[in-house]
Amino acid sequence: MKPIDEINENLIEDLLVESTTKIDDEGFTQRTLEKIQSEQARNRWIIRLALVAASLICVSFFPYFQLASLLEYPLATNISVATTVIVALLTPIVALLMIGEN
Amino acid sequence: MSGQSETRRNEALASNLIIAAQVGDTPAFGRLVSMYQSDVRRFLLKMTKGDHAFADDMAQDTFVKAFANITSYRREAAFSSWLYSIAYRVFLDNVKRDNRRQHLLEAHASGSENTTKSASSRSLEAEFDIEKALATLKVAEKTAIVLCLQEGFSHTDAALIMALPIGTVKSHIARGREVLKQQLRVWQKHLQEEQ
Repeated sequence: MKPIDEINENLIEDLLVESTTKIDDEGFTQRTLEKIQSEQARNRWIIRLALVAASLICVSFFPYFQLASLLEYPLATNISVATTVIVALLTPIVALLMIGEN
Repeated sequence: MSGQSETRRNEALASNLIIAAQVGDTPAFGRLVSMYQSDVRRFLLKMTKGDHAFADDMAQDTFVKAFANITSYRREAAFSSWLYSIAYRVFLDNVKRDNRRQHLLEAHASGSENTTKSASSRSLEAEFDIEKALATLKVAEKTAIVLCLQEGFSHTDAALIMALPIGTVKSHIARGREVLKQQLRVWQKHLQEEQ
């Protein structure tokens, strides 16, 4: 005859396994995919807004650096070239993102 | 174990879907959600002591996080282990953030009132409510028991999911088992007194 503790050990394992029932989907997958898609859309908007903000900052400083470079201030000349390149790169990226979504 | 064999079958089938999902194929990830939703929701349902709405919200968060980070899945562990580790972190983060749910991290002497009854009640012993008994364990003991004895994970996988050393997981299981045995003894004594 098995000791009571050994019986209980087996009984607990049986009861634990018995309580692993499958849960029906009931639209869970659909709801989850919708949430994923809305998160993706939100993230795309955040990236677009960040790029627009970066472009605006560069554009707003642009005239000051141009003016400074005209006054032959060497550091300003370098910054002016850098901002020109950044604006030149960011503007088409933002435009493409906007067109791609609409 | 039904959960384990199903999970193993799913792992092989899931491999191609994971590759597709890693390059942004949302429908492929949808099929992965469909394959694993039952396991993840059941695990979280047990962790929340039967709170369906809370468990489902966290299961959704788990899959959203899994999709966002799927490129970081490197096949070092089974996909199910990776998903469960996200689910476990989501559970801990949510419960720690929410003061009203702090009780889910604590062991309770009498268990929760909204725990589900054991499916089978063919014998007197089967009426012993295992879910209620599980609710009396500490969260780490309960997680280790659910993962290894119910969901069929190995000690190594459970250690990976819980981000604990394997020895600690084994001790949690041993302590949890002992508490469950004590509960069963009390239940049996109670039955004998009634008869």
